[in-house]
Amino acid sequence: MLSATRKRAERGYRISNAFIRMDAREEFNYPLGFGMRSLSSLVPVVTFFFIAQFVGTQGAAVGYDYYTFVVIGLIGMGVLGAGLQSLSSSLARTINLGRLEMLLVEPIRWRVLPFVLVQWQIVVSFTTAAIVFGGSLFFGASYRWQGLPAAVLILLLGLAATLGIGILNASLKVLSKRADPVLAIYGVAASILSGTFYSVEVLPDWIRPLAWLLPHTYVLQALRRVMMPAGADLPGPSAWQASLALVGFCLVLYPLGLWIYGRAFEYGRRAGLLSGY
Amino acid sequence: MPEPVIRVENVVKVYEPSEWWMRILLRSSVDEPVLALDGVSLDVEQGTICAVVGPNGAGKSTLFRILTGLTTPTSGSASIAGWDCETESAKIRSRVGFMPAEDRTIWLRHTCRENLEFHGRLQGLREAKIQRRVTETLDMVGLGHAADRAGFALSSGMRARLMLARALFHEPDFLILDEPTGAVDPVGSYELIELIKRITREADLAVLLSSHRIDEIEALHDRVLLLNEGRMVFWGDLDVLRSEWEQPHITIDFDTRNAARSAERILSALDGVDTVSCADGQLVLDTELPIGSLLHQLNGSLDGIESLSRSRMRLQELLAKILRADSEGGS
Repeated sequence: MLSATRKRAERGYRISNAFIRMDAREEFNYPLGFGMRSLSSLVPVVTFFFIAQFVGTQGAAVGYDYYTFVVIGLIGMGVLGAGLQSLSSSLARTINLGRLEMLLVEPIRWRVLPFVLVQWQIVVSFTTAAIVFGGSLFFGASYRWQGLPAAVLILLLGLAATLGIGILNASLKVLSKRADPVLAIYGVAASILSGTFYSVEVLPDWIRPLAWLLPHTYVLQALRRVMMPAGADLPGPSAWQASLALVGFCLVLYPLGLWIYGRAFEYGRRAGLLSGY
Repeated sequence: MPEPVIRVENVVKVYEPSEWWMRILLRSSVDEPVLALDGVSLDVEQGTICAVVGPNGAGKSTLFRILTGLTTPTSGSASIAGWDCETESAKIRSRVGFMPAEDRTIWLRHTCRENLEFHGRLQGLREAKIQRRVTETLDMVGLGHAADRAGFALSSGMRARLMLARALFHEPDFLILDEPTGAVDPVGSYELIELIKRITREADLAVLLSSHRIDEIEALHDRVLLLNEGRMVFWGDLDVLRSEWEQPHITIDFDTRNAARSAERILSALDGVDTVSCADGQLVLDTELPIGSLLHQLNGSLDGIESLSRSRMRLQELLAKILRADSEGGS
């Protein structure tokens, strides 16, 4: 039993290792492109520094620093964006390059693909988050440093929940090859309702409950709670409550996403759609 | 007779038109059910090569997709080493070496070594074995000197060899090669076929290979599955195919074009005589009638004959003849 589990773990490590090495090599084959993309993540850090100067008094009026507030929003959105979108983009690239057929005849479970295809982009998203975090320090953002380990855990939890939505979307992508209907709807909702650039408290009363149906809102809330010096005074659920909600999202979205993904693959297999593009 | 390791029994595959909701996701050109395979059966034993031949749309790729688990048969069954291709494809995938028709499946920005290492890790091989197999397989396919060359810098022939190396990397028992020489020049394709024959013999593999090239099928000189519009037209040894279908060609050279044309008019009217060509004073006939009986019919024009010979039918003509007969019978 132990030996079988160990064997499975070793095999999982080898598959994961194979994908991350190939994706990293592919990325570093274009060093300038990678460097430019990483540097471009600093643009909003600078832009929001000046916006914060302009609207700073608003944040101060409610007891917190708007610049720190919005940078945490940017970091959260960046990492969660990887959970949401990287599977779709990775799958699209694999389909368009004609590699999906080859991957599907390798002895790996099709249900493993959603995880191994996104690993590298998750690494990149955390690297970008670190760049944004470092850049914001230069521009005077102030954080509660003791909240950093909790923030990383919250990001990982949020990533897991949004990857569940990404898998749901990938189920349709396997069949539609291009369309991202789930991402399109969820993306709009998350941009407007999750409170990246403003507190959800400013949303009209009738729409505010919808914000709390999105994992994004809980992640941003929990991050601000643990990382902002005045985080404890923020309205809304505590970091613990938000984290529990995220665990709940994971428990629902993962099995649902993987079940639908499995059904989509079976349908595609029967209809002969898996090797098309 | 050794036990077959690749077994296909009465496989039917019908591609159904997409449901309405699926058409919203992806436009489909299938408006009515398409019969891609119609009762195909075959057995391939260890150490043998079976060439799957047929025009475009004959069902070759569908057959290969069923065997590799990428699609499922509508009815019938396919198995490799006793494992069902529909329900146990995960087991099959670690024992089969697959070479797809397109070289896009190579990671073109990566070296030959990196491509093989990636495949080896997905196959679950240990690092030490991966490094050993990289050297072995690249040497085996004649790419030892290009181990650190990127995929995009390889010629079409070299890419085909790299894909063959990838198919062989994990020491499979069965090879499924989908048009392995599709993009390779004639000399390169000859060398690749010779390589496949040698590896099949040395490693005692069961190989299923599709090809459009008649010279290759002749070079393999093993068994042939001839498909046409999903139907199995012939399955068996190439020699049996020849003995069942071949009619010798009789070539008669005349001193003038007119003499050849008038002879053609006389001879083609006979039962069992088909004209293959009549040009530049040369008449080529497809018939089993004795030469003497033909000459008897040409009684008045014998003086115009300069030479006369009997030759074997080219395989290309033979296959075309069989497919034509099948299409006429089928329609």
